[in-house]
Amino acid sequence: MASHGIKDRIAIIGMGCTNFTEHWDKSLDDLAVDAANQCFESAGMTKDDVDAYWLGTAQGGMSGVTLARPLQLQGKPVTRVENYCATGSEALRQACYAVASGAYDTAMALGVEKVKDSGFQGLNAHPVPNDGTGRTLTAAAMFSMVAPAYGNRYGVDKDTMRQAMARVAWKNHQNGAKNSRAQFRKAVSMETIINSPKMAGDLGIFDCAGVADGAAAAIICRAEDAQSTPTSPCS
Amino acid sequence: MRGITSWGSYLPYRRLNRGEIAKLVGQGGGKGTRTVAGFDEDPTTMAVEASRRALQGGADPTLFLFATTNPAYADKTNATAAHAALRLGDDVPAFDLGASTRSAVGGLLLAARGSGDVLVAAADIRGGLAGSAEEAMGGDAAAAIVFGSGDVVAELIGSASATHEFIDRWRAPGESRTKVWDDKFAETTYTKLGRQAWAAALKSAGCQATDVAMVAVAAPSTRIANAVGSKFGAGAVLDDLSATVGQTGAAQPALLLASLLEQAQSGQIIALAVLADGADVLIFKTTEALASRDGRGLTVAEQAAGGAPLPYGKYLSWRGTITVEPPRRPEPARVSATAAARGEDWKFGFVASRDQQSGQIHMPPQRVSADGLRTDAMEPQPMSEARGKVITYTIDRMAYSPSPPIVFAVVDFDGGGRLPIELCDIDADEVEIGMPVELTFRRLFVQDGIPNYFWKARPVRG
Repeated sequence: MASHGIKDRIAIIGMGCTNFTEHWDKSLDDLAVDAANQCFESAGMTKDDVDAYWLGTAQGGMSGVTLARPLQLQGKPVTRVENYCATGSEALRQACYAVASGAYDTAMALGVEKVKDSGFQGLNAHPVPNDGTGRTLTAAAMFSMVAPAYGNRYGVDKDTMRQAMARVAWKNHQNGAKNSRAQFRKAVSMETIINSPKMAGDLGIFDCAGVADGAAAAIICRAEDAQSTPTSPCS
Repeated sequence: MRGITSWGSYLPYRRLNRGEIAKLVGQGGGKGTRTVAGFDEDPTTMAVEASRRALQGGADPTLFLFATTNPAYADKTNATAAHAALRLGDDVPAFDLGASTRSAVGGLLLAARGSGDVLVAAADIRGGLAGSAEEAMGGDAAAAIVFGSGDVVAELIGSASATHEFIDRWRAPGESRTKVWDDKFAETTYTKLGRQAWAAALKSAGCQATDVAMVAVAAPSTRIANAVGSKFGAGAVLDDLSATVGQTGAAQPALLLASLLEQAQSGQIIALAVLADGADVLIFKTTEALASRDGRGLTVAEQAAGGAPLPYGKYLSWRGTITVEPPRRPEPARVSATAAARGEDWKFGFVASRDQQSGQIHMPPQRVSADGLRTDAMEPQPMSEARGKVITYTIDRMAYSPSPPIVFAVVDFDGGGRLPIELCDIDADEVEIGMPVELTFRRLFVQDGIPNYFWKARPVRG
């Protein structure tokens, strides 16, 4: 028993991606349709050419119907997956495995999240009925607990720790500045990051992920079929 | 011989300086401080704290009685939550006494005259309108007394009551404000009732007033307590804690009794007089066992001298007098009754599981061992009396809390077990790695009228 992976067995032949921002004028359906249609166009295919669909959404809706309805899919298997922040990756992973297994020739993975309709700050998980003893912290606070423990264990003082963590946001904002679809498109100085208002523990606003609406989609086929697709990057 | 075998008291951590009140509302207040229950405490949780201390000596109650004027639940019993937190046997009855101060002394009398080991816990949260005497002079506290026949530290040698219907104070169920009638009317009436019960109690104990070394008087106000107490002719009148704690309502009789026991010598006659809708007097003679009895946790005096100040604005928000903007986060869902019932041992009793083979403690309790090798090979591991150390922490400024921010830590318990757990009775800038903590039973939030009880960790102080 071992994990073998599917290296070199599949190819992505089309992609679509909306802007990631506070889409006050767009619904989850709008975002899914926009990303999907971009993706179909990019692959030179129609929705009927795609054999199966995987939808990744953590808080956007239940079941594959959440994608099947806005795309008006007929007779296609649509599976919704959820895996916290890895939800979109999970949809892609499942679509890749499905194609690699030989079950389907093509599959679409689509991730979509519409988080700005709640009126609350941050992300909010659906409450599962429980005994009330579980933690009620934000994700930012849970992650922030790594910092004091790390600093204590490896003898890193608070300022050095703060500098090192700020590099993450500093690098990400530089990348975002070059990406037309990014939520934040401005490089931010180390000083601004370090002095930003604290959200949880020593993590400030710039250390924590922005909350944005958006969708992205990919169409997958077997690697050996990639050259024969209408818009093959290999041809 | 039947009498008191153990006791414990609990004063919450926060103090309101009465001098702050008039600065904000232009009236009220006074000198000294009063105790303030945390936003995460209610009479049930405070009764648990006092009872844990009373039971430290190993008492094994056969009956549990609970009194408060501010019960978290009506219709449903409150004592059962405390019973579960104290891990009393399910064959031990747990009853609420009616929501009046007199019920608290009623519990003491029932326990004193009853049979078996009876744990009586009383707790109260006292408030009133901003700037009122009730707000300034009230206090929050809990105390627990165990009555039994073995290892008695104070034998009940006499008691008497005088019952009278009159309106000195009143509060409709569900309201937070206790209204009071003319103070002088109350004082006059209680003086007469107090003298009547005092004389009858002395007679039943077969002693004179001068034989009583010390009397504690629980009354609606210090003025009444002093007026009545000074006429008893006992050796001394016990300080009623009004300068630091306040009048603690249903908790006052048991709290003063605890204080009395902590100040008495062996072989003394001591008395508790309670003025509430009548007068009830209990006369005890302390035994040799009292001298050898270690304090159950901190004494009342030690706790009264401790604590930390709470700004008046925070006090008002904790009591709901002023409504503060909450974090823009969803409020937590109400507790699932079925999930809570299944998890009673963990949620209320803080009972983890211990792998029978590896000895590893699993928090919350698990069926499968951490090494993944065994299923259902665990035994219950009570953890509520364990201490631990903070290994990392955070301050969550975004998450919902009745009083943000949340101070939260991962705690490694001495002897094993690790749990991410909320801290309490702590300021955000106090927390640090290595800080020793102990456990305390708290109310995390209330949703749909259901208090969500669970444990938090607080710094070990004093």
